[in-house]
Amino acid sequence: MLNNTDKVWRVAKFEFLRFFKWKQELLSIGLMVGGMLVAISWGSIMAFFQPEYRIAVMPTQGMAQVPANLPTVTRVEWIRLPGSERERAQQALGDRYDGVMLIDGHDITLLVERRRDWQQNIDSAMADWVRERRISSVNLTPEQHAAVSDPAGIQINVLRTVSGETVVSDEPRERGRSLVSGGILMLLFIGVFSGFGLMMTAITAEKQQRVTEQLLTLMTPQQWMDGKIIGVTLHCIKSMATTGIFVMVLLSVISIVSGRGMFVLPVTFVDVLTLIVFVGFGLILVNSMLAGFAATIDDPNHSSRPLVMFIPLFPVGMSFSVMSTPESAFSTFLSIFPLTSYATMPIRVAETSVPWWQWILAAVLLIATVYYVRRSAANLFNLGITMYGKEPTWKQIWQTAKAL
Amino acid sequence: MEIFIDQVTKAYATVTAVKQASFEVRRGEIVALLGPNGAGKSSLVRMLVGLTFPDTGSIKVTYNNQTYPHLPAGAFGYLPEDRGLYQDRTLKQNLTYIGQLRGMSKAEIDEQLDYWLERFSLVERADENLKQLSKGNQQKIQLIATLMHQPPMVILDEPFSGLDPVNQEIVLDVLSELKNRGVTVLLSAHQMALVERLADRMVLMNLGAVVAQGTLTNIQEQLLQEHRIRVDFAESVTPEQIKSVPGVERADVITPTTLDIIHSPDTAPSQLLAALLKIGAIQNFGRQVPDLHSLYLQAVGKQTVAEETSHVE
Repeated sequence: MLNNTDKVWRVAKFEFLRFFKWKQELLSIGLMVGGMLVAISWGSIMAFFQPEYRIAVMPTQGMAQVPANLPTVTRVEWIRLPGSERERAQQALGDRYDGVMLIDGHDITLLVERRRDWQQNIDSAMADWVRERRISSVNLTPEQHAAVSDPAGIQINVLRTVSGETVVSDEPRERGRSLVSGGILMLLFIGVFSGFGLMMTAITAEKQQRVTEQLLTLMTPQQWMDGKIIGVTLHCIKSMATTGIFVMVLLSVISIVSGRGMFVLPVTFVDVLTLIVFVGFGLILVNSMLAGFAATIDDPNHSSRPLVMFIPLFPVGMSFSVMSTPESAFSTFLSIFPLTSYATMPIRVAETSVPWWQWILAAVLLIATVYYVRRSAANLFNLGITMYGKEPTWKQIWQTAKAL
Repeated sequence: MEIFIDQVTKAYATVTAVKQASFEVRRGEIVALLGPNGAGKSSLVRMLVGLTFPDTGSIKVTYNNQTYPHLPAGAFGYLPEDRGLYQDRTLKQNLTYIGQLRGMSKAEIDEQLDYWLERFSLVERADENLKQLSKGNQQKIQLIATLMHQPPMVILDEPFSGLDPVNQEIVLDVLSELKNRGVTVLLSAHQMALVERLADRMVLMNLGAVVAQGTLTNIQEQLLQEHRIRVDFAESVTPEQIKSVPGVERADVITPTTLDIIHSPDTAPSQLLAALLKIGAIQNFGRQVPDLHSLYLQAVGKQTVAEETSHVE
């Protein structure tokens, strides 16, 4: 006879291998490579296909002729015309010309057929050009000219402690830290959404394929649930790891090719520990909730319950707000509250200094909630399979879920 | 392993699926639970295997000098009414997984797979996904999953459903072998002709209740609602002549010389024969016992009508 752990691991292994298919793995990596390559080269592709815009430029009554030093704008060709050609140029809009620009001293008007993105480039280039002309017209000394032209701003230095000493963090490192939190969020999305799809299949399809009764005489609902949750969680971690490693390799290749050397993310030990504890238990929590919900669905094609399964995905969405304001009271609450901490604590740790007691409290609450939810999931599963063709009511679900 | 079911009742939301059912399954017996769809057989089986529990009454299972409230996990094989294994896994993967969960070693699993796949002519298809197999072949895989760990007790819920006559015979052969090996078998079915050939005892159910139980002879006695004897006279006789014999309730004319005589239960056939010989010479005199199927239909038909009438009331 197998003991409890053996049975749980047998189920976990089966569930993992059931969804792990080499061909699909290679195909998804291929798709990722293709997607990344398209994303990287998107600007060049668009530039290649972008047309050259012909802009007729002419003075109005207030000016004799168009100034000679018009700014250079990518993919824009200036066609200088006398003011008398205005009417003919306007009639040729959309045909011979993409725009007609009227210059009246410092006032510039661009006539076009439709609003388009490329007009922003002309707008910004001409604004700089006009500002420069205004500054030049007041006869400043070179020093005054340089002082006025230099944009105002303040220097922001990020301080961090290295070996007991406070040092100013360099810009690449800070950009890297932002990448860490962004990366965690992206991986969380991948992990949680993988769990959503797989758990639906693992439980509702199984109920429909009538596998349930045969297997439930071999083990308890709790053993089966635990095995499924672990198996699907391992699959989520596999998806996250595959994507994470792939992105790191790709960034390194780009970094090396562009002459910036090996790409290294500034990840700390605490980041890794937080990721293991919170994302690991967080995925178990999410998959337990998904399993519980899925167990109450008799037929996914005729049930409204699959929508409820989206609820466990909300905390990942909330993490966006934590990224921008990691020190706020709301972010602190979200990072301790057990149903949201798995997604928000890793982001806070990557973005700011988190007091150790908050970290410990959040971890303890999360682990306790995981224990409770996996028990509830097994109870719900037991309820779902003994109703034979009927879905339990919300009242029954609530009463079963809260009973330990 | 023995099972004692005592006054078990199980109700779902709007239906009482099992009503005060009582019977026993002794070690080494083949006991058949018989009844039409909705008779309560599967509900009873689910309580036996521990998937659900009785509302009232009790189930006791004795095994290795211990008593359990349902069959102890791992000590029995179960073929559920709702068949199903993983359609997107191969036949071998499915059976290996079941074997592993039963605690079988790899060598034991391989040995059993070799034997059963050969026996069911499925060796060539071992690496095909289950969904590629016919319904009958999938049924065989289910049966292998039930028997591969050589359990001392087997519960088979509708083992013949979905099988053609050839495969029904194969299953009957397997059940005979189990019986010879001393395995206790409880099977539910509604193919009475098949079960009659095999079962030591039968439990007939209808609308959740046990209608009759025992050996085939016992059941025939319990369900026989009239005592019918067929008589072949040497020369033609009239029903009126027969009805004048003491103890005769009715006489159905089959041919001018052959009649079915329905007599009162307290009239012995020997008394009847002696009286009939006074009417004329007799060539054949034999008790007419309908088969189990007909008896069951008679009994259940009446009960169904009675139930429906009481519902209306």
